[in-house]
Amino acid sequence: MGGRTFVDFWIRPPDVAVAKEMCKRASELGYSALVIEAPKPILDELKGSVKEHGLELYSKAVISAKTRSDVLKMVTKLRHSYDVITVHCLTRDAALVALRDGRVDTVAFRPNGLMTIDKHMLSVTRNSIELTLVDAISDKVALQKMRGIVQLIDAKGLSLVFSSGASNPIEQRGPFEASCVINAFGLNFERSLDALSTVPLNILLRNRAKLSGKMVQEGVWLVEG
Amino acid sequence: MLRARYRYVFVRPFPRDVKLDKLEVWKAVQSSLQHLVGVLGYADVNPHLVRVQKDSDGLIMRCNSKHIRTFVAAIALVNNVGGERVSLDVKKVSGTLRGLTKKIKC
Repeated sequence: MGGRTFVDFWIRPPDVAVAKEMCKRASELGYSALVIEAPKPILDELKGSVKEHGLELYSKAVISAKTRSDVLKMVTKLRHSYDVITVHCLTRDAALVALRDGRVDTVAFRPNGLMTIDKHMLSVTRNSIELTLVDAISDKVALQKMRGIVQLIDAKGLSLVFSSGASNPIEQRGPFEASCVINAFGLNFERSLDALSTVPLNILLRNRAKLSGKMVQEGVWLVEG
Repeated sequence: MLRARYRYVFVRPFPRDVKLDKLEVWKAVQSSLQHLVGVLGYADVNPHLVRVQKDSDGLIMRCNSKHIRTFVAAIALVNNVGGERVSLDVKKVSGTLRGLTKKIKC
């Protein structure tokens, strides 16, 4: 565990007061960065509080998509305004597009949408798959489905991001606890830790570089000097 | 026959101002573990409630050292104790009870 930087890749605070509490708790639990799904005014107000707790703040847009065109339209619209784009797929068609679109960062599988993954979807997957702890906690059926998804991800060697998906401090858990949950689903412990540190961190660094203009295209960096 | 090795876990409820019956907390952990790994898995993990720490407002539990991660996962999956919405934070893990109590006091 030592030396890793942990990221909570998805929190959804309803207002500024709760968001501040969640920042404090995330810092106590050992996270170094937070990805927040919230309107821009809340994010602006949070900047001071986040620095006070020694965290880095990233913005996230979550697109709930039913059709292929929903994904494409919304990704085009939001890509340049947010650090992270996550697609929450409600149908298999939307999932097939989201899983291979280079502008999408993660594809979330949640109980109120699509919660199954088949071989064809796995074979076209380029992006990371995101699962949330809050679904595992609150929904016992979803927990069993998540176990199946994690085992397929493990077998195919795909990348997984595990976030809290919390909307209040009670739903937040520490990085060790969260990685133990994925480990209990069948992923080895190193990869479980990667799902909370290396994988999300790489996504954030890449996207910040793209938004700041340091990375022109995937693999093409501007040299300063 | 080899001697069983254990891991001792110190667990504290969050938020701290909620008054909880500690036995209810233990029941919630047991139920969560049984749901996660089933009856046979539960037997492998072999969880025990060691003591209730009144001064530090937490519980010390024990499990088989090989299955500590499963046990921590079960603790993390608890979200309700006796009708109260709480989470359980794993604060410390140690191989001996004496080591754990030292760590808690530090």
